[in-house]
Amino acid sequence: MAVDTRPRLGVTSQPTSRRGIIRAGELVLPTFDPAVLTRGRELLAAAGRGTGRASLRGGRRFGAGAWQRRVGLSIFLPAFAVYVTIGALLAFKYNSFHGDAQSRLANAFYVLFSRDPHMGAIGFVWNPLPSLSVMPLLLLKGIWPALVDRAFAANIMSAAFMAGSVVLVHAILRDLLVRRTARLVLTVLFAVQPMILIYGGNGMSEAIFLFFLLLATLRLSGWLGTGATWDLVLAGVALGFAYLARNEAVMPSILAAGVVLGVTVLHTPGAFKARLRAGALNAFILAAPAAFAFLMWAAISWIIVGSPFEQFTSQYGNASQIAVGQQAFENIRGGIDSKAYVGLQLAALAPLLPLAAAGAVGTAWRRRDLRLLAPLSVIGGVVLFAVLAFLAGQTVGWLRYSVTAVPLSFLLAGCALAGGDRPARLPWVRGAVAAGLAVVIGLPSIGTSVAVMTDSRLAHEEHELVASVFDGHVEPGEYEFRGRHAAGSAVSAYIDAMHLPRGALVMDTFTPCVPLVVLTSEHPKQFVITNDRDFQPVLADPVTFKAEYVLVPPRGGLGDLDEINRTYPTLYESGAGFADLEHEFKAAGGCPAYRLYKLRPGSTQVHPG
Amino acid sequence: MLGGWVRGKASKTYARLLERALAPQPGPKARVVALDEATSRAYLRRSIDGLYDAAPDLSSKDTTTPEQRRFGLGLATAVAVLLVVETRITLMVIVGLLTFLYATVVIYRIRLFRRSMLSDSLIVVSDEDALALEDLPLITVLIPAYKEPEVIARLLQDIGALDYPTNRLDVRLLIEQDDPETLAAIHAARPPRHFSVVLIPDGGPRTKPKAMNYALCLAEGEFVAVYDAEDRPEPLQLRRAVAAFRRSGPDVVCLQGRLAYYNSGHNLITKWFEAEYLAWFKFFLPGLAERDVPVPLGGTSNLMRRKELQEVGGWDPYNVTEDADLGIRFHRAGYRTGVLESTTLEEANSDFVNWAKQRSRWQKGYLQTWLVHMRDPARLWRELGPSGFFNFNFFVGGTPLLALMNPVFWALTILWFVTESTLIGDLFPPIIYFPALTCWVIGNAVVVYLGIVSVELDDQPELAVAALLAPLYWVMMSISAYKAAWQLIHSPSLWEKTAHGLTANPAAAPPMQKLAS
Repeated sequence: MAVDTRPRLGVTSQPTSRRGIIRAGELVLPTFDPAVLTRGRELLAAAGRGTGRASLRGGRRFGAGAWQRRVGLSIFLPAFAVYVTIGALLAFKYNSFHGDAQSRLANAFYVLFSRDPHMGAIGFVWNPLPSLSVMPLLLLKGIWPALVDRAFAANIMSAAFMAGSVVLVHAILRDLLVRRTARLVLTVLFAVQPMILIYGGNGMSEAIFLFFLLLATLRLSGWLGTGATWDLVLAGVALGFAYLARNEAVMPSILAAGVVLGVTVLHTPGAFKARLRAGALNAFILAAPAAFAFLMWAAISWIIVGSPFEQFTSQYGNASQIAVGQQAFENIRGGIDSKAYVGLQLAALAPLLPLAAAGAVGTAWRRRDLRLLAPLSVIGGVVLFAVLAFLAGQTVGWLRYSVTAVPLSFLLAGCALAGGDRPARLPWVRGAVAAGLAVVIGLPSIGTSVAVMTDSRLAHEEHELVASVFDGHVEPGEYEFRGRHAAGSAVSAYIDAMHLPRGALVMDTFTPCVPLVVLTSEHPKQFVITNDRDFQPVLADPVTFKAEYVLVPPRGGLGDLDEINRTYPTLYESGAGFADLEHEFKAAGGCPAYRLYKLRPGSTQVHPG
Repeated sequence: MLGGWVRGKASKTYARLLERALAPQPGPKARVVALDEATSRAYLRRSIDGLYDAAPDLSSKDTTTPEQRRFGLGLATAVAVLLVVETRITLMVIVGLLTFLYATVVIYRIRLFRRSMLSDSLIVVSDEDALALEDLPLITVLIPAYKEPEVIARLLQDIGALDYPTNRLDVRLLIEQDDPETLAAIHAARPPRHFSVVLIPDGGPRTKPKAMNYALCLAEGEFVAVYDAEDRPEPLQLRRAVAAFRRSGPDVVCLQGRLAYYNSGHNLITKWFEAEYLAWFKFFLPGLAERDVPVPLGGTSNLMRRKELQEVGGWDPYNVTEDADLGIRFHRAGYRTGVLESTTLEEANSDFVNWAKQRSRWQKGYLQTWLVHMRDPARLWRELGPSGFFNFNFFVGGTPLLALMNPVFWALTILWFVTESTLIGDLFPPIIYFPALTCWVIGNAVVVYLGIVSVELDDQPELAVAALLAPLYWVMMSISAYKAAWQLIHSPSLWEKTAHGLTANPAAAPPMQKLAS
């Protein structure tokens, strides 16, 4: 091979002598010879590696990655198709919308398209991730308005995360070495579990929360199996994201950190103090991302709205909602004792949970396998939180708060059917037995969940949704979910027809129909809303700020939390002496009889009454 | 009288000097390599200006080229003019760019960390493989020491503990001519036959790379190893390195050992230092090697093929991190560096002033290295490829850059709170300011978190608290980074020597066997 003698490194002066081995006493000096600099490249080229990798080590270790991605995709795509179809049916055919899904989507909408677009408009009553995750889709509203005015972006988001959850359930079962048929049976039964179908389709934040919980479970399970720190890191990050979706993530974070601490202390050799230190460090690695998410969210909330825990303490927060919602919920519950109530709900969602748990404990004991602790702490933690919070009167008992019981029972079934390292004798028989057990554990929960949805006391929201779909003869307005969109659109259509200028109408977006008014309006910038930075000054003195109208819900229930009602308690009844009734909308589909008041132009200063 | 102990012909002055240095010592003495004056002068010139004469654009003798200076001046002028004319927009663009840079560097570090965490990029040689080696090559070990007589006894003990046949080992202690104390200490310690002293003549920059270049002229080994005087290499290190060389292709010409500290438990500074080295040598450098991009070497505990080392021009005596620079130059020449799983213990600076001197030297050196290799970005791109080019910029340029930028972001945050956002809000629209703040907060948190994770991975939970308090360490880094930037302008080649022996009880160091893994 001819040696390339062209200077490669820009040598501008020729070296004074050739290179050579230097010995004491000889005047042969080491020099910088440009020609030899190409030698390394020639060596690489000769080895057939171009300028590629150094010959330090072989190929990459993760040959299985591509295959796993393909399996994941082949589960994701059909699951996504099913959920997004359900979402489309709900949004377009049955006009069925859950108010919370719309509110979260609306918060993202305010950030981008309101009169005062800014990040803080995302609001602090709900944790931000569900809103953040739909934001990219909202940017496409020019192409497809239904993403916004039918809140379909939320359905797409929940379908994607629920399909991802199915992939994760499969991945956890695979890591547990559950036999293939049993694994597929459990995965499919999970995917078509009625609760999973509903919350995959209806745009609620359950799907995104479940996704990150399952991701945390997968990684924590991996750590319990191998001790790989990177798994611990990812489990922690997943819990951090779970917190950004739902407050309930606090409980699994604490429980999982406890598991990590305990397992490390028991399994590390050495003195107790050293073991404790190692355990504390691991627990910190797991819990730090969630703690960081918690602190950051509190800090941002504190900086922007002045209180760190808006989601609990604000006028719209959990405490207020419980205060006003408790009575309504008592009526729904229809006198069932609270312990029996939550027990019945759990029995309906996961009837064989105790059986699965017993089997899981048995298998784990036999194999000395700690991975059982991952679903127990992470997923079980949320179930535990839901039960405790309900019994303590801190939440109302919606069935969806316990939805995590569904994946918990499937994952515990997986732990019960977990395979060992040794190849089994009679693999065919064992596979069939495992598959049979999977059907036995998985199938009943579908039946009982369908059954519970016929009961509007135990499954109020789900019953409403299912009934609104399958009851073909409903009058508009009979079902909240079904009528709300029409009612909200009617309000926004009326207002749009008035051709108001920018910032002319003041309203509080808290009551469930008002976000719909914004989302379905042609001109969202005509509204002054709660999330605007000048909402309070405008509300205190609307006329000076060129506001002309106020939209206000009747008092009572959630209407009492409405900021306009709180500022002007007599406005809805009488106009509070500075406004005249322009229009009263008909109460329909869960929307109360909103009233539109026109402010008297003469009243330059309005004093809160 | 010097007869048996001196090799080569000593000139009169040289002999007188040697005699004076050796005189007070009775009994057998260390071997001293001495050269006749002409040879010595020629070697000296070569060790100072060899690289510069052959390739001035690869030497840091001139920190910047006239083009670089003109570019820098032009940029500064343009920014100043824009600041006056369009203050708000210019500030916005600057903060926007800085945020982008900051985010990029942080994301780059996370990816690098993850990559090396998930793959075995450290080269591991088992004890059996290391001990089974036969036909060991001759290794020349260079140990520069300057005015540190107190470490000599310990040095002989630790280097003597290297498990390598002494007839295949040629240990050279590099002593400056004006340092009779250290020389006397060496004589007093009566080193074994495979140790010898090379007296480095005066002249030119008094830097470690110059001394090593000089000794390189005399080196005969197939390999050259570099240690600092206070180093405690793991006994099988040289054997492992030879085994690793035999395993890898001929393009691999340099192996970097892992560095750690024997006095890391001394105080918070040494714990920080240890946690930082841990991340550096266990994750970042192996990550770079894995990516097949330039690896800035770590100064000591590197073993190189002598021929290739001489081919690329040896060390740059004007660069104060000649190690980092050499790593880049190796890569540009098409050679590769690996990171060897074998630890050398060093002494960590336990005192802030001393630490800041050392750190600002390193940061200055990184800036020097970055400036030298970015003299012709297009050619660097061609020689390193896109990946190597970006990695070089993010790593060598990014390290001091992060330290320089952190205070800017702190200042913005503090200002925001103090002025309750009015001043900041006037200067920066939220669209610039909030992403900047978010990046900064999340970026800082992520880096602290990765530090804690790395401490766990290396099974050193006692460093966890230090890793958690790392932001205070970054304050120190920023102070030294600004000192470095100032020095780069003022006295680019000044080498601020690090004082050693600050830890009172070196005997408290862990026994070597523990590290032989």
